[in-house]
Amino acid sequence: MKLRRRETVSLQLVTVLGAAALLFPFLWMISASLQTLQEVEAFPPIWIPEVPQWTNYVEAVVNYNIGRALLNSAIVTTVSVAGQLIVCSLGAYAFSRLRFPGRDAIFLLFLATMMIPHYVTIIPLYTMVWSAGLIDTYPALIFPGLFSPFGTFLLRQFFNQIPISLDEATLIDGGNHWHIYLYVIMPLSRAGLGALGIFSFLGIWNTLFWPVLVINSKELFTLPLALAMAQGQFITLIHIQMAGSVIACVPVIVVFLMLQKQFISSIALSGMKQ
Amino acid sequence: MATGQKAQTVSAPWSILRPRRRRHKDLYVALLFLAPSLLGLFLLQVLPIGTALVLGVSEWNIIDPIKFVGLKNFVEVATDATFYHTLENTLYITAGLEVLNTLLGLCAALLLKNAMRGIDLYRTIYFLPLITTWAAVAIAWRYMYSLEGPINALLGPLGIDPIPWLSRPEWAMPAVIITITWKTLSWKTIILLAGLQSIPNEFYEASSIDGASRWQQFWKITLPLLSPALFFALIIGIINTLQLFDPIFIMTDGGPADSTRTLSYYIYTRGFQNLRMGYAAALSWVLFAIILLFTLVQWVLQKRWVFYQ
Repeated sequence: MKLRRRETVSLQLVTVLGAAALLFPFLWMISASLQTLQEVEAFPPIWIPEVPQWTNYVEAVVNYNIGRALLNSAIVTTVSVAGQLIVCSLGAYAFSRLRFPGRDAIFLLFLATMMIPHYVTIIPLYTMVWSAGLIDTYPALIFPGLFSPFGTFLLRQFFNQIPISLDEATLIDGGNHWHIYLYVIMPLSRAGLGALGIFSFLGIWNTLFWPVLVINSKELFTLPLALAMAQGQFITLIHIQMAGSVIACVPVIVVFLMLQKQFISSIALSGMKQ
Repeated sequence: MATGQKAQTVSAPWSILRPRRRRHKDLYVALLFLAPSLLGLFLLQVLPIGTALVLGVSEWNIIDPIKFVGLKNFVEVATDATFYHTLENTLYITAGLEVLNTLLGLCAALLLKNAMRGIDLYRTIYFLPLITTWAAVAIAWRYMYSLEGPINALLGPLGIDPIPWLSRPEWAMPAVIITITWKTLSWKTIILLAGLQSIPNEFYEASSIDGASRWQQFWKITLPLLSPALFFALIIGIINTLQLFDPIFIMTDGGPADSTRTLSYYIYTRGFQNLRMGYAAALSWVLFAIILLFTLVQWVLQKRWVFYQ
């Protein structure tokens, strides 16, 4: 479709306006995080702080538990994402490359569980964690992230696109299934691993519901939980909370910028994650 | 699929990892590869789903021993006025989000399809709300909605009096819907953009030669060919909306006066604020039934409007 010049300009204008509207909450968040308490409570609102209060960030990290929460989130997310990539890629390899009785039936079971809403499983999961005495521990935060039926399914789709002839070449060279998995399939599936990596990273880093249920003590708060709980405790310290919110958003934006292509193509492919 | 064609020539007895030709010979190595996944599936899906079935017909407050009560929970759901109220709220939020997200998502997809200058930057900006932490942005929105906050300050010059966004029952749901639209809009955009990009350009060129206007092209080419993507985005969009938690937890906690308590948030309320695990489990099965029903109805209705090439 060829566009006339005037149309191009007006389309560009609408796009810019849309972008501005979508950016507005972020800009306000950043601005508020750099204001003094007086400025942030002023009416009408002050859009740009007189002197940027960078110390708000220091205060959020040191005095309001954001530093500790950042560390917790980093630990939980790193272990969960690495674990999920390993567990799901091993499972996907079996479904894509091995022949064994009941393979299709088991794979169907994996797919069927994806239809069950989170709310059905989360109550029993909570009671299981509670019975195991794991409430308020790192394992409680980490273990639900270690496996996902969706991840297994996604990686299997990527593995299926790799030609079998590469497996056979490895076999002729005297390799076994472990070699095929490690030296053929994994290196050739970087796009798929990247896609699952960013999905699970965003999912686990951003998750609030599960930590709300299983964590009570401040020392184990993840970032979203620390932000949500701070809301109740320091209701008036908007500027500190906004500094914490900016700190929570920066890592996801950095990872997103690195893996944007995989993320978007995988949503288009699978429709997962809102 | 056929992995073991050449395997016979290199077979050695010392390793179960070595591929063989016969079907079941991969069984042991498959068990090794599958063991972590099967353990995960059992602990995170099969066992919880089974437990949820048991909980649905039981009464349990975690502290006292669990008690079997038959279908009592489901009977209670059927006569629970709050349940029906949350059902109305769920319908409201789902309809509101689907309409806004689809209209605005389609507009955004049509804009981002064009190869204009700086398009990569625009795309990144459009996708930012989707990826950022709900807790962080919901807190920002909560303050933005305050009576003397930036949103009312922006509306003031337009002649609109300050709106009590989150503190009045009639305004709380619209406010929540606006925020969730801002956050999830680009998910629709991604799906619809992929749909738009798969429509062959020749269709537009051919119809231009035949004298079709831009408007006719949109109704006769774009929309019919986009209908599978619209259908897919509708189904997954509804499923996601039915399971919302974070924005309501942060912004309203279901209030004021239950005006934003959706069915999913009601499950949380009953289970974890009132410690009625059995009743919450029964509600969660009702949610599952609703999701299933929605999806089936959509599936049947798609014949009327979805056009597959």
